[in-house]
Amino acid sequence: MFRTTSILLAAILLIAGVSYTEAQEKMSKEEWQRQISEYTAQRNELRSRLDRLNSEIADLKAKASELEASIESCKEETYALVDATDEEIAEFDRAIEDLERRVEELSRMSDDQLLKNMSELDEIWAKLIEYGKTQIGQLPDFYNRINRLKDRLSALQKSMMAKGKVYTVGTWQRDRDCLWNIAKKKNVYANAWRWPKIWQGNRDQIKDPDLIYPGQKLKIPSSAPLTPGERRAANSYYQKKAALSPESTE
Amino acid sequence: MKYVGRLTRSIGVPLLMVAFLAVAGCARGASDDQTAQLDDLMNEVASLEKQVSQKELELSSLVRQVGAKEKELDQCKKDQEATKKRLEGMQ
Repeated sequence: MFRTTSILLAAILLIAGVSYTEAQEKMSKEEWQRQISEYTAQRNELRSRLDRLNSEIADLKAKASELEASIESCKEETYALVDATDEEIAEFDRAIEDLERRVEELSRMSDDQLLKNMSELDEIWAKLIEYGKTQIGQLPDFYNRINRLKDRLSALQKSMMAKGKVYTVGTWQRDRDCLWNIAKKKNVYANAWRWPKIWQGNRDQIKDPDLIYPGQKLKIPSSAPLTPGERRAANSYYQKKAALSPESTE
Repeated sequence: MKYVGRLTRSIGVPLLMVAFLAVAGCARGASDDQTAQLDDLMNEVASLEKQVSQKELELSSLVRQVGAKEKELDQCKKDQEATKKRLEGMQ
């Protein structure tokens, strides 16, 4: 009897031990209650924060669309200031875009390439002046774009001038400017015999090397001995001069 | 006396065992339902935290957008005035 009781007691103790260990691993009721209260408070706080945020977002969205409408109306009022149709404005926009594209291409060119296109800079400049005088050209977008283009062109011209690549012809009375004298200048070639380089480099605007005009912008090719072509052109000029001189006609 | 001892053993021992089992196994931890309830609550809190942080991002982006639009409107008004003056100057 005693033996049976002892075995039974041992078995029960074993089961009770296991149950106790499991109970220890589980959360206590007090801990559960504490966490429930903590998380409930947190949830309530988050819910009210979310409500506040939603309300602020709705207000801001309303304000944003109100502002958008005001901006649109402001733009329409501004466009109405000039007497132009949508087509005219679109056409003007395309014209400015073309100039922007061309100036972009010009500013990517090397100095030598740019020198060959100097006359185009002047053409673009003239167009900008013309566009700047139109009513459409006074619209903020166009006005700013025209001015930006002018700034870029002016910077390009200045940079070419600073590199001594362009020479603006002065008056004979004040500067004694002719191709010979220009080539002789220290900031040009310091060598009068190189005048044919200026002539050949500006064939588009100098037909007769004896005729250059005040205000003309001459490209100054890089300093180097005359090329065979330049030498031929110079010889041909000297021969013509010689043929026309009174001594040869006698 | 011998009878009393046997009676004590036959009643007392099982009683003691039942009491021990009750103390050891029951009434100490949260029930499974309660644990599930707490898990649900924790999940809800985590989801709310995520939503709040998304809304805060949306709010700050909207604040920036509204600020930019206010500036744009100011600029438009200034441009309009400048355009008027330039056009008057042309006449």
